[in-house]
Amino acid sequence: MRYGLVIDLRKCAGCYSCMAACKAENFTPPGVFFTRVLVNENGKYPNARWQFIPVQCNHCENPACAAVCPTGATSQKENGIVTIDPNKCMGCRYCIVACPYRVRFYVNKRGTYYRTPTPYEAFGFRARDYQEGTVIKCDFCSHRLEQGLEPACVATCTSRARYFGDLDDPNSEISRLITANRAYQLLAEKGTNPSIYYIH
Amino acid sequence: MTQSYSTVDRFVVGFDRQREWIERRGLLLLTAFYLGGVGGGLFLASIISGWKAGIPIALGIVAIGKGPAHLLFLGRPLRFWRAFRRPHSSWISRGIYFMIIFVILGIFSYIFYGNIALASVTGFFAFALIIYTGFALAAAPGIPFWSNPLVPIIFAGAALTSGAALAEASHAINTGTVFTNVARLETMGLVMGTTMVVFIFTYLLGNYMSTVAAKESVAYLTRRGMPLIFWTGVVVLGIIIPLSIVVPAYIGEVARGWLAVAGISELCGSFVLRYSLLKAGIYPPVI
Repeated sequence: MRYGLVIDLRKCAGCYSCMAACKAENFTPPGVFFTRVLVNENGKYPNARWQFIPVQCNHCENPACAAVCPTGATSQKENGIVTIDPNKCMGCRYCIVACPYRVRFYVNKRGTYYRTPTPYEAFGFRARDYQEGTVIKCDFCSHRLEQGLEPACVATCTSRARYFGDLDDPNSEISRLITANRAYQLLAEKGTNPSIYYIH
Repeated sequence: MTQSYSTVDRFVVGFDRQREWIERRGLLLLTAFYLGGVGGGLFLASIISGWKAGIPIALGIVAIGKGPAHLLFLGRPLRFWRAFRRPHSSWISRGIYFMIIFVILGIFSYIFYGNIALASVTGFFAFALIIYTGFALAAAPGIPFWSNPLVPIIFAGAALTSGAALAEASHAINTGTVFTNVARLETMGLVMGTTMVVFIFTYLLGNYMSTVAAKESVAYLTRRGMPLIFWTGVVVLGIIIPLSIVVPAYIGEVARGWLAVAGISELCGSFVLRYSLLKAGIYPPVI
């Protein structure tokens, strides 16, 4: 089994709900967004248009981050999800530098948005073990997958542009979508074989 | 015009500059890379020129300078021991081994000075120490400017030049310093200095003609982002001033004070070269 994601950019409305849902689900520190929606400006007036491209950890089959990690903190599970063991990370940030997708974040200080933590942030401190001086990133909401739920970004997508499933199963919805729509990966030339595909 | 690549750029498709290994505490990593290069280079220059006193200085630079700089850079320095576990895949792990083995063998090389076999093995690890930083950068596929086979060669070349420069400066400043073969040191400085000109020019030109992100890096370095630092630090301090003194010194005679100026100028240029390479690491747009 290898978990993967298909994002249909034709449906993405750029509502940023995936970003907000991820933030709410994972209690990420200020300035950290496991899921980001990038804006791309195409063309020139009067034929200009915006294109929205959601990006997050690609859970690559050949992750550059795991190869360079000197401590073994970054590893790949049997289901293809690339994770970080916060107790092993020494904060050298080699993985951040090596990742072509810029989806890893260094927690210098856990921090809060205001001077004192909001009740939500106080809960987040207890719920998530984000250690200062370590690197964090998306793990496809592994805690939700264990409960049989989809990742928060997929569950919340207002235009149903995100499809989650098993890339190894040729009959899964995402495998069929990839084949039928000639879906592509970001920066495929880097040889990392990302598990996130895009339909344009 | 200065191009900042602000954090807002993280939400727009476009080029993005790496910050983790050069800004704020990243400067400690730059310092560690630099001191490792100077220390390893100085050891090799000391062996080549027969300067016994250079060996403990080289070991001190690595053990007291490079090691602590690496530790201070880490977010969790007390976990550094975990980095011993992955030499089969990570250049940082390999670098730690190179550093420790170099320091241990270096001590024995000093004690048993004159043992050619021991000096050769230590020299191998000194070379590994100066070249691994380049391999660490080249192993990052996200940054085309670094992911280039010339990067390790440039790092090794810069380290050897720095080592020769430090030895030459020491020789020029301290008349009592004993070098059994100064001519070799002068040759090493001259050869490495001129070779670095070719390496840097080839590296920049090759990158300029390759991918868009590598081209952007070269433009950022030479024109858009940090031209003053690059042209003054790398070209003037690191190349023009040292060569304009070392070449006449090789052919004829130059006052010792000028040789010290050449050495110090080269050491500054070598630091700026590493700073420039790290600073100009630019990621390509994701789409």
